[in-house]
Formats: sequence, C-alpha cells, structure tokens
Amino acid sequence: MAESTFDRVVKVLKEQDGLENVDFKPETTLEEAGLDSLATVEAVMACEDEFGIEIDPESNPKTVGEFVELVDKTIAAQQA
Amino acid sequence: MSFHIMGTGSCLPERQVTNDELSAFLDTDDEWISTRTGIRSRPVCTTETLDDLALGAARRALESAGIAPADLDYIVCTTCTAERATPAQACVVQQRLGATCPAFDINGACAGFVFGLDVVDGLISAGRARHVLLLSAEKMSRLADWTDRSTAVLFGDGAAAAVLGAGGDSPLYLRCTTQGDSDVIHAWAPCGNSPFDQVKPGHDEGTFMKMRGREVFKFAVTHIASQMQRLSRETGIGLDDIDHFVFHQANKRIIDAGVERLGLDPERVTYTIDHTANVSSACIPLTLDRLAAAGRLRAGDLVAMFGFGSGLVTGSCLVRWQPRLPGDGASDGDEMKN
Repeated sequence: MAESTFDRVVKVLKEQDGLENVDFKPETTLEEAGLDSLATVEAVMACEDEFGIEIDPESNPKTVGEFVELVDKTIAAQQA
Repeated sequence: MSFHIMGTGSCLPERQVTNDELSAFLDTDDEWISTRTGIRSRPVCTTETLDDLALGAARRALESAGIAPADLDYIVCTTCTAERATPAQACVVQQRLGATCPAFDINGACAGFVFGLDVVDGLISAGRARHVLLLSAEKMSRLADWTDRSTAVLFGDGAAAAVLGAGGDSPLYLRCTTQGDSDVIHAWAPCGNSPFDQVKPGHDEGTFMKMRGREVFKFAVTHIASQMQRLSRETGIGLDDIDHFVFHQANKRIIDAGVERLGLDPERVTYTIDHTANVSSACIPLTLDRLAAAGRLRAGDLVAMFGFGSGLVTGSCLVRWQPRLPGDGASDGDEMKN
C-alpha cells in the first residue's frame, strides 16, 4: 500500500535536525516539535523535493495536519 | 579571463552593538537572535560617516595592493545606502583619496560586489583599465527600522574593497542573474516634496527596509545550491576542488542550509556574520579581506563567491587568488588615463 501524505510528511519532518524522535500526530504543532519559522521553510522545501511540487513560500502551516493539507492541496492544484 | 585581485581592505565602525543592547528597546533577546540568525553583534555607525568607512577601506586595499591612488583607472563603488543621492559615493572616495580617475556607483544590492566584478571585468577586458578600485560601502543602519525586531537585528555598517589588476586567471566563472521582483525585499526612496507628484510611491510605507523573510530564505537557499552547482558544471571544477566559499552573510542558517544541500566541507566556508551581521554588498569583500588578513588565502587558491539580495539578484564568481603577478605595483605611465 502506498504511503499516505501524512506518512511522507512525517518522514520529511523526522529528517530535520533534532526531530528524529518526535512522535508526530496531525494535531502536533510545528512549534512544539521544535521548528521555528525558518526551520518550517526548510521542511516545506524538503517536502517540495519529496513530492515534486512547488509550495507558496509564504505558506505557514502551524500543525502537522495543516502541513499535510497544504501538500495535498498543492498536489491537487498542480494536477488540475 | 582578465583580472586578479591585488589586495583587499576593510573598515568597520568602532561601535559593536550587541544583541543584549537591542533587547533593551526591542522585544527580543540574545538567544532568539543568535539561534535564528547566527548574529551576536553588529558594527553600527556612531561618530563615523560612510565616507570615512569607504575611505578607510579604500586606503587599506591600495596599501595591500601596493599601488597609489594615481595608479587607479576607475573607482567603482557598490552600495544601496550611499551617503548622498548624488554625487556617487565613489566620487567622494576619489576626491578624498586624491585620485583623478572616473568614479561611479552601482547598486546590485547584496550581490553588488559580484555585479561590480562583472563591470570591472568588462572595463579591464576592453583595455580601458589596468587598475580598478572596487569598493563596497554600506550604511544599513540607515535602512533598518530600529523599532522592528524582525529587521533591525539583521544589519550592520561597513566598507570593504579590492584592487583589481589587469592580467591573471580571474574570473574563471562569473554569472549574474536577476529575477525581477520589486516587492520581496525593498526600501522606498524619499518622495521629495514636489507639489505635482500625485503618486508619491512608498509615501505611506516610509523608507525603511521591508522583506518577506520566508521567501528570501527559500530564494537564497535554492540559489546558493543551484548556482554553485552550475558554476562547478560549467567550469568543470568540482566543488571539492574549491578552496574557499565566500557567501553573502545574510543569515547563518541560509548559509548552513546551502552548505548542507551542496554537501560542502564546512571548513571551506567562511562565516563572518556573527559579529558583522548583514552589511549588504560589503559582506563578500569583507569576508575576503578577513581571509586574506588571517593568511588563509594561498597563491593559487580557488575562491567561489555567491551573493544574493533585493532585485531579486544573484551573483556567482570563481577567482584564483593571485595577489602578486609580474609587473604588479609598478606604475608605467598614463596611457590609461582619460
């Protein structure tokens, strides 16, 4: 079975410095996981590479769930 | 290939403003600033003018190169924060040095020094100059909004210069780009008081620097990686064979992210940002000067530079460090003088 967007986003987040042991859930806020604003941009950029998409750099997801939603919306928009 | 860097010099204000000092009047602290930017203090003009800093850097570069002001064929100053709208900052330096050559400014924002190298390469290649003073002088404290923690903490003041001489292997690569976008990083010029101007661009916003940080971060990191890879591809010189990487010092985390993407050896990447902050176009020549002063540049070393900034612009350059070539230092007449 193909990995879900959530699984792939979490995999990307865990590759960020110091986040490998964080237990990410949809409601986990990026701030409480340890990502500040620039680290969030880095994670967004890593997701762009993972999914082959281009995300608006001003996007500012607050939770893992919002992050997944942003990726799904961007994929849908770029496939449309 | 037209030039070599004969010598460098720099001059910073005496006053170093620490993060703790900023936290006295901004809602921020040392930990917040240093973890997000890598900056611990920044040089800020108090009793010095930008003219003073520019002249100081120019004199030190000339001394390092072993030539006199009279030997200069052009003075080119890169700046986005000149002391005056006119005359050019370079003209003031020319006057105070006692030089007689043409002098003018260019604005390539934070990539200005590399844009300047491009211009000087053209002057030297065309046979119009043998010795050029390329100076970068910035008073960013003029553009910073000292009530805004998101920008005030990022900038410093300073000047740095290089004397470029005809002959030599450089540039081994030089590429400037512009991705026109007047909004991401910008500062409006003063409106003036024309009674006929009904538009007054920027009037409501003021003249302070504004930037969209996330977008700048993404632009910078993406382009550090892509432009350095392109430099390597087009020259056939592996990134592992480049001795020094001198990047624009906007934010330590931008450089770190670029270094990680490129897989560079961190020992080959020079950071000056901790106590200089972002001195716009002066960052690259200042870092070069620090490397030279520390004796870390050996003859033959390959030095890659990358600047990026408002525009949005990038400038990439690869030079070979050749501070002394046969014929350097001797003035051989006025055939280049206009």
